[in-house]
Amino acid sequence: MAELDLALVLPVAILSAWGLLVLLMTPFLRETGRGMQALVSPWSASLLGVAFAGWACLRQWAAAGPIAGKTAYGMVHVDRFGVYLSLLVLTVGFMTLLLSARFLEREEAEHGEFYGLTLFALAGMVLMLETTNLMMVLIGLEIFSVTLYVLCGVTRGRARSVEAALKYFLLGAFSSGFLVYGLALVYGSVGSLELAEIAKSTTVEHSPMLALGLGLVIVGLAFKIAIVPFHQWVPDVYTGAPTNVTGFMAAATKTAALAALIRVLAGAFGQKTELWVPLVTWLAVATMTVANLIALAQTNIKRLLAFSSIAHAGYLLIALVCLPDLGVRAIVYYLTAYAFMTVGAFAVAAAVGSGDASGERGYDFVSSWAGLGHRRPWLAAAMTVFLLSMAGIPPTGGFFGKYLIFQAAVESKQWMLAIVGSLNAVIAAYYYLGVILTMWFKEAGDDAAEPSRMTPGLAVVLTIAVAAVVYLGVAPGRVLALFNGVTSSLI
Amino acid sequence: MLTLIWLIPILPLAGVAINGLLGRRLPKAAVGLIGCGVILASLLLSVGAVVELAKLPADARHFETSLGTWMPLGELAPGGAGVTIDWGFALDPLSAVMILVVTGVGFLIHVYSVGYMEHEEGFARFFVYINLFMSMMLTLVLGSNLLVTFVGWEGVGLCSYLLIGFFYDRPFDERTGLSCADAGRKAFLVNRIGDFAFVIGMLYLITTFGTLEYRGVAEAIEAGAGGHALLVAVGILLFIGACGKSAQIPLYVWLPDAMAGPTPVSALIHAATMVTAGVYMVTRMSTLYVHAPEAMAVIGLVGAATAIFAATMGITATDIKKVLAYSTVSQLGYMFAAAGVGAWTAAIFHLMTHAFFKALLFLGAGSVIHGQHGEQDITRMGELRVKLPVTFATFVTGALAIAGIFPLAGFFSKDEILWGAFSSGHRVIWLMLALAAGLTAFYMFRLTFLVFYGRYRGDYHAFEHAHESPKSMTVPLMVLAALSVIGGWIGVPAALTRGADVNLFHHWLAPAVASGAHEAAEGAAHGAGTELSLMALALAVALVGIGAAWVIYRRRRGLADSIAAAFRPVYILWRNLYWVDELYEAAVIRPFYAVSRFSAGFDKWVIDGLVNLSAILTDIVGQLLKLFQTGYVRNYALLFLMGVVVVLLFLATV
Repeated sequence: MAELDLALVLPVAILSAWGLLVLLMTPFLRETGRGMQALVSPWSASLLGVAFAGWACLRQWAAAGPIAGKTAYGMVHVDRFGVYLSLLVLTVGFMTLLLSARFLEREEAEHGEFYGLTLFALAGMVLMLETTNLMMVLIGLEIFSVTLYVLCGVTRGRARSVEAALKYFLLGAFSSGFLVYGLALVYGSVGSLELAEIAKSTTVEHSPMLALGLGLVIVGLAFKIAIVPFHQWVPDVYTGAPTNVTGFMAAATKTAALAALIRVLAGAFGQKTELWVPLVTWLAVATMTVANLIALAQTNIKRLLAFSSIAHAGYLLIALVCLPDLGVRAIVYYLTAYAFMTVGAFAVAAAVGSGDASGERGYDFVSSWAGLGHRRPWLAAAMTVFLLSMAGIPPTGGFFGKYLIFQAAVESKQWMLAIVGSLNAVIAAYYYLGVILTMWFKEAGDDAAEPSRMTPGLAVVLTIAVAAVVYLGVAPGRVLALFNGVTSSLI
Repeated sequence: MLTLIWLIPILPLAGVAINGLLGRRLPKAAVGLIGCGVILASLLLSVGAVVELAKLPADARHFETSLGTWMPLGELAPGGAGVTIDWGFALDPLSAVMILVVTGVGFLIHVYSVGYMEHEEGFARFFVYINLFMSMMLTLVLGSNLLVTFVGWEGVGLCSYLLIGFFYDRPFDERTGLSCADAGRKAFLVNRIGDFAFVIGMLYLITTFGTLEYRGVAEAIEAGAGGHALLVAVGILLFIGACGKSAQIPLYVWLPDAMAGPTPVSALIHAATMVTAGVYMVTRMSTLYVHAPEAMAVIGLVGAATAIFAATMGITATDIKKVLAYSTVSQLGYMFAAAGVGAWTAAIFHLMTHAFFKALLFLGAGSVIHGQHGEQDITRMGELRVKLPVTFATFVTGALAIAGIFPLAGFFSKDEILWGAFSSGHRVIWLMLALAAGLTAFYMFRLTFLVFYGRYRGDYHAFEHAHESPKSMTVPLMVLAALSVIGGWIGVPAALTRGADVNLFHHWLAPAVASGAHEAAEGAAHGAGTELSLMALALAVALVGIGAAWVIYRRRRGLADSIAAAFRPVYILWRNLYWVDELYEAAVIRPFYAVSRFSAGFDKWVIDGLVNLSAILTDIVGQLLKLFQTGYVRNYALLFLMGVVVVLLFLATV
């Protein structure tokens, strides 16, 4: 346990330092610009920073063996699980940044701070992913939460954006209170916030205080993951926030918070499953069912995707109560597919949305997507791939992710969850296919959306996302082979 | 070139690809050139391969090649080795005859089509379909196992469907109200019935013998594998498949309606090649049939019955192409009858000569139709020998050949079948076939006289504008006419040559087919004298038929009507085609529709109703849950708190 092994903290260090750098650049440079200007701008600098951090993560991946590296007095814990998900989050961040430049320009919200804040958010997420200390989890969570509160309000000329930022902040602060209180109880009971220590204490005797602490920690993380009944903020914030931020939140936040929850439940409380498995089982059932049922009644595409992302959290919880090896493998696979299809879907939504700045009513309604398949076949085709993947239809990554989760449920004899999950997948297919139907088979009405131009950034993002979703669907074996070391050392 | 036989079916696919992808942009001349060119290439390759095959000693004339494994099936036969099915192609004397006929006649018809289809929409589409057909037909005959044959079998069925419905937007039959597209569907559906039996037969074969290779199956049967009952069952099942494809009773109904397709298609697919696939397949499986005499008896009777039954309908038909269609059904019956009595060689011999003269007759009919801008009703024709001299001369050649007049091709092949039936003791079949021969001569010359002789009975204006067809159409006619004359000379029976054995065809084919009862009987009791007198008898019957046609339709006009009046019930029966279509409609189609309608109603009201009910309930719950989403932070915080209480209660109870 060396005092500070720089290689292990390098990604976070790069992201933080680069974030500062980008913030300092902002007053002197045009935010994005065109041509040569674009090459030297906060936008390009932030992309470079994410790529650099990604390189650092890849080095960690290559170095990370079965035994995790620990540094900074045990506060940083680098294992393949964390590194893999960090890379995933960085990819999401990179794709979001790529398409943000032109999006913000259209929204008349070219604030250079956007790029610095995004880097900070990523730093918080990576911090949260590469630790086994609950204090670090809290710090990482707060770093990205605070930046996201701001990012939600970045299109500040729009009331809904500001409303989303405020709502998210109020409820986020509310939930953080529970998380911190839970940490206090855990500390009081165990005397440490290190998950390995907590795991040791669970085998000694049952402590009601520890159980209460666990409950509050679950609540705090469940809020970020968007698990029913702590999901109420999601539709409002996802709808109000600028669409590029929504995609980032949906894909990256969920990944980081769920990873922490996995470390706590499957890691620290892995020997005491009787404590939390019934709870998580019912949370999974409630999350899937409620989200899918409400999604049926949605007419706004961003709200629909919001409920869909809640429902996906429900599927992920199924895998959490399964045998650790199968379950975590399924979760990591599902998160990978989920990240790409979510970023892709919100990227299309961002392009099709008639402009956050231009008005409120009629904006982003599914009905305005009618005939999109004829007006913008490429956009519609990409969206179709993402929606099919979300619905779990082969040959897409979403299908194989669901397959792994249900397989894990069946092999762990969680029959009820497997059945409820399958039924929910049927319900979900209805509203996903409804959007596809609208795009391809309905005549455009008066409110027909006029999507923005296919910019190079958007084209690259959609290409990456479609390729990844399809690749995950047709060559799952190769991706699963990567996961060999991923599930071995959670704490 | 033997090693390249797999290219023979592949080459036409090149035409499909080029014309299919670029055909709309290419000029018609280029489309025609490509369409004909690929077939010519196949033809030349076939000739080369067959010449090489012929150089081998007679018992070594079998060449097989494989393009790799198609289906590794694992162990199917109990305890047997792993079964695999290859993309195998085989050339032996039997498939050699077939590829020469298919590519030769096919090439001529392609050339003819360039002229015939010139003014039609979808010129390129036509050549794509017909090239695809050639590819499939060649796969069918070259396949070394039943499954590869089946690929071609289904492929030609598909092309047949596409080409029958080529003029999909035109009406076809006034009596039944069929459109061309309907006619295509009818052909496809009727064939499905046969294919169903075919597939079951194949499944029996592979589960019993563990192979679908023709050679492997034949060797296993020779070695005594497989029970007698099984062989009979498989034989009959495969024959049902052949009945569909080759239009035998009771599945012949699609062929007359297949005339909805363009005339070259009728000539190529519905006369010369595809419809003979059943005869080919049965001959291919001759070893099996020799060991299942009951199945052979069925084939012989069905064939003979079809021969005479279809001929009667040909007598009253008034559409020039339908007369020929019934004639085709009848002649296919001849071939099956030959197979049924074990005269395999005769069946294939007649298949070949029939391909020549029936293609000729159809193309001649096409020339007549083309020359009069689409008129097909023979009661509105006449006198056309003046306007269409080449067509007339070649058509009469064909008519004489099919009637079996010495020394044209049809005489030899028909005679061999009759002799095969007689000498193997199938006297009833012989009698039926002889009678059918007379009817054939009669309706063919009825057709000839009505079309080419007498006064023109249609619109005189149309007659004035009638014209001989272009060279691209008349040259194939002349070539086919020559073949119809000399095509039979490779199978001259020994009885005509005072015992000198010059039956080349027989010797060529002998190693490829099972030696059955026919060959054994032939050498025995009956002498050349009997054969000669039977020949004379058959010739006399044909001449009587022609004579009757001459009297009724040339000499004594009005006689036809009075005969029709005198035998009114028979006339009505034939004119309405024995009401077979109506019978099928009442016995099969209507009950089937009734069941379908019931199922549709059940699905719509009961099953869909349940599904919709659950969907409506789901939706209502969703709408109710939506109410919790108020948008007020205070409400959200309250619900959040309630959630926390629930979670803590949950954990406290553990």
